[in-house]
Amino acid sequence: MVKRKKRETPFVSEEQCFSRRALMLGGIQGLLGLSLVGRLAYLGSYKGSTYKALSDENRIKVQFLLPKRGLIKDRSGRILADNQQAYRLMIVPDQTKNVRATLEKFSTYYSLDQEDIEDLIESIRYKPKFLASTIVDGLSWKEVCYLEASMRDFPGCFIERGWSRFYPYGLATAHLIGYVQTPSRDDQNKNSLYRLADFRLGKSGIEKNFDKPLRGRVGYRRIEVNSRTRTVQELVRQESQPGFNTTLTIDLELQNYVQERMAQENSGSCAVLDVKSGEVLALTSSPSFDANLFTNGIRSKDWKELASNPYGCLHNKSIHGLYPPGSLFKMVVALAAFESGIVSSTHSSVCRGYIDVGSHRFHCWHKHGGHGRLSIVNALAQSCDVYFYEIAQLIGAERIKGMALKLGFGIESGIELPHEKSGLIPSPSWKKRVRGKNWMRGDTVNLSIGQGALLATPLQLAVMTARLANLEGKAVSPTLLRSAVAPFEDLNIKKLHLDLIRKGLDQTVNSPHGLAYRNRIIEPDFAMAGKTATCQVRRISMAERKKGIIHNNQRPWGHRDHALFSGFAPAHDPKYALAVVVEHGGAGGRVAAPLGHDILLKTQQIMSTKKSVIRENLT
Amino acid sequence: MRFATIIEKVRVIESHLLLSIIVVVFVGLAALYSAAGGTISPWASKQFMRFMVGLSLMIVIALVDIRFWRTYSYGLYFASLLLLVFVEIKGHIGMGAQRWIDLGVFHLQPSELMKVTLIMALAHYFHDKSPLEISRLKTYFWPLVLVALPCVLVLRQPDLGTMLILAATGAVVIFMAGIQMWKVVTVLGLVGASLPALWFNMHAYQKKRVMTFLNPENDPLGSGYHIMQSKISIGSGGFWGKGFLQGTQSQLQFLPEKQTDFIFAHFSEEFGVFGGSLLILLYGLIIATALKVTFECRSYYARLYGIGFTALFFFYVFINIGMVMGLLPVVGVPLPFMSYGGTSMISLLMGFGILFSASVHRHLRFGRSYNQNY
Repeated sequence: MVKRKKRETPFVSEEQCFSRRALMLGGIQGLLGLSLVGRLAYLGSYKGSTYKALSDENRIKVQFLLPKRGLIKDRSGRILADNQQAYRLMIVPDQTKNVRATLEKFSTYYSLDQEDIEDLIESIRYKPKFLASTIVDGLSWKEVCYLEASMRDFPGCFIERGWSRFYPYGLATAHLIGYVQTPSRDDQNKNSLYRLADFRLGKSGIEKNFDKPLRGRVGYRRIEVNSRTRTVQELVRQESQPGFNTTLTIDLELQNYVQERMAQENSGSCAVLDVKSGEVLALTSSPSFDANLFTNGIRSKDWKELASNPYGCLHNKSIHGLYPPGSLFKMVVALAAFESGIVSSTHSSVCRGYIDVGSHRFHCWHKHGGHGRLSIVNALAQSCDVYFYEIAQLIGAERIKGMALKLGFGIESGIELPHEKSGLIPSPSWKKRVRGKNWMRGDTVNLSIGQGALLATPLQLAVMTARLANLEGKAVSPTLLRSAVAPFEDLNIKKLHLDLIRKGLDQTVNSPHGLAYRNRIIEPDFAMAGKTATCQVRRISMAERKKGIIHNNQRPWGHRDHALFSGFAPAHDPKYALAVVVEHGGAGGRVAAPLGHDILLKTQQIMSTKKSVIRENLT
Repeated sequence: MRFATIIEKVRVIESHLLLSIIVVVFVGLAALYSAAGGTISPWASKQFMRFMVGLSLMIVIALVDIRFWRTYSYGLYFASLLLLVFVEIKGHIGMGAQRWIDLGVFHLQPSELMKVTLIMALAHYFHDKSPLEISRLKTYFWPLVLVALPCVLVLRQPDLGTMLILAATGAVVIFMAGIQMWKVVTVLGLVGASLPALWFNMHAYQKKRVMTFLNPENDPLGSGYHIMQSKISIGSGGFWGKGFLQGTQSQLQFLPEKQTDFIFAHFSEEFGVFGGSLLILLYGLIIATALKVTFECRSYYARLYGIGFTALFFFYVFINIGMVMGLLPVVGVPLPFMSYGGTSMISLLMGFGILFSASVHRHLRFGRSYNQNY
């Protein structure tokens, strides 16, 4: 040491330098080590409670408990939409190595075709891997036993007991009640609740319109889970609250009857209303479909079949189908004329089978010879076109439009169903705006018999009929909810004029001269009044008229006339109003009026026995 | 070697150092036992086997004369370098980076060996340099090459953490060799100035790690997840911890890599600030004893190696615990003797083997080529 110190170097000795630097490094290491301890103490003691909370947050998960969906009942409490206990096979993707392999293995036990497997994989792909997805819903008890025994073959799968929506009268109520469906991917992005396997969203009809109240309140349980969300234990449980039960004004017996009766025609729709309260007793659209198909995800095969139905079974024609009202509109024209003061209610005109407007000749349906001199009552009973051609020209299109609006045309009826159509009342300003052409006298003439651009839903026609039939002259609005009876506004139409119209409709059915005499109801207590209509879908050209009109049955279905009927009963004290539309059914008097007869008769029979039962119960 | 000599040598092995190492290893085995949910498989049993292999290797290395290791310092260094080149060319692909050679029994990670052999090579180089040479700038050319070669190779893998450890360890040895202070300051300045350039050459995942280190709460489910969960584990342990086998964070699988890089978080969750501090203290004890052993050696080579290796060991501990507690970015450095993994355990034990060899042969002075006075 001493030796080295003596060596002549400009530096401190190597030994000293080494020791000093080692000390320096050791010191730095010691300080850094202390800083680690300091940090540890900071995290563990100073911030300990914060991290403790975060750790609990990790560990404790909230799991939602889905409520039972509210029941939907008919007016006498019979269940139209129920919840059934169902067993379903679930899969958790991150608990199986290969979802596809598992599904394919399962398809050897249960009939799943390749397309269904692809659909399942597609729907699973967009969910978090730890969330369970349904493979098959509605397993039978036998299948459950079998699967439970062979669960080892299906890694990541388990059987769950849950509730499944069930429609006991799926075919008769499909359009009205609608159906529930697993939320679509778009829906799932809107609300994370929708990703839960059991969750169903009301997709149409009442199920959609009252989706929120029907759903109920979601409950939850706090559970301790691991990072793969496997439940370790349950800590707190807050039960869910089932959805509100909904009672509809529908009468199940009548609804079933109407659906069956309407199904005898290819395609059509019927609405039956209570004239005083606006309660909808039956609302159908045919052909129909089984709403239960949708509950657990519709199979692609079934969907294709429904979507390709030539008569359009998926949409609710009673509120989505638009038809020209034809002769049913004549009541509107007559009321517009009388209320305007321009045409007296005693007005009569002479029908020669046609009138000429400018260069165009408009025919009455009774072309040869015409009806002769007619008052309003006879004009309605025989459905003379010329009478209405004339009075319509006297008052003009705007006044007709005003009366049509009063009676419920061109505006949603406000029924508790989604996406109701409002129809269309053409007018000079409408034609200018939409078609860029001026309104011609011929347009008014066309409008007077409910043809041209005029369109209405079957429900609107039923509403019109109910308003005409309401003896207090109230603007009745339809409703599906029993509790919702609102006071209706006055129509502001003179009773005298309404009486005349009702008399015309009465004679249409009950006078031997009336067009629908064949379809009168014989029992005097149940006698109905009404009006038939046959609506051209295609204009009949002059050339065709000269050649002789091809008979309806020889035309392709889509070119045939629509058959319509609207009426009320009993004729002298109206209680029930109805509108029937048979799409491309042919002549109204031959096709629609018999339906109206049967349904109105059935309505009165059913409702009178109900009332007597209630009376008996009261005494 | 005669048998008697072997016995004699074993008897002079520094028992405090050996004992503290064994204690840490067993603490690690307990942590692995708990991390597996209270079973020795799959981690604890395998780790114990590796420790036994490493321990035997360490004792064999310790019994071999330190002069032998000095002589073969360069050879070992270049062998490690060749292995690094080999993984560069044909290695196993793991975690997006090529780091391993599959030896069948375990994966060999040449960069771990490199850390030890780099220190040996540098110590050997400076052993033969006179103070006059030390003061010359050109003396540092070869040492810089020695450090730079493995750094470049490791960075290509890419493994930023190992590269930084290699560079820092090399710097410590060069510093200890007596480089003048003004040079140190200059180099530190240059490094500081070149940081922006480094940033732009980093891999996207490396940048992301640095960014999430700076603000882990920004991305709690992405790459910030590791740090967040790790801090939650440590913090929720409180002072006394949740108890052995009671750590909810790790038992319920929230803490990722709890058996490897994040084992300190797992340990602290169960044993709290108290246990964590004791463990840090234990590491401090290992480092202090290693430094004491180093100072007892007479040869310059052994002393340089001792300081360098202690610094390497310190870097491991500091970087790992620092990153687990959110003080440093997550760079993927294991905690010595605790983290599950073969290479780091075995190569560190081999490194300690050299230190023990130096300690066993501490009274040997061997010639420095410049100094004729000996």
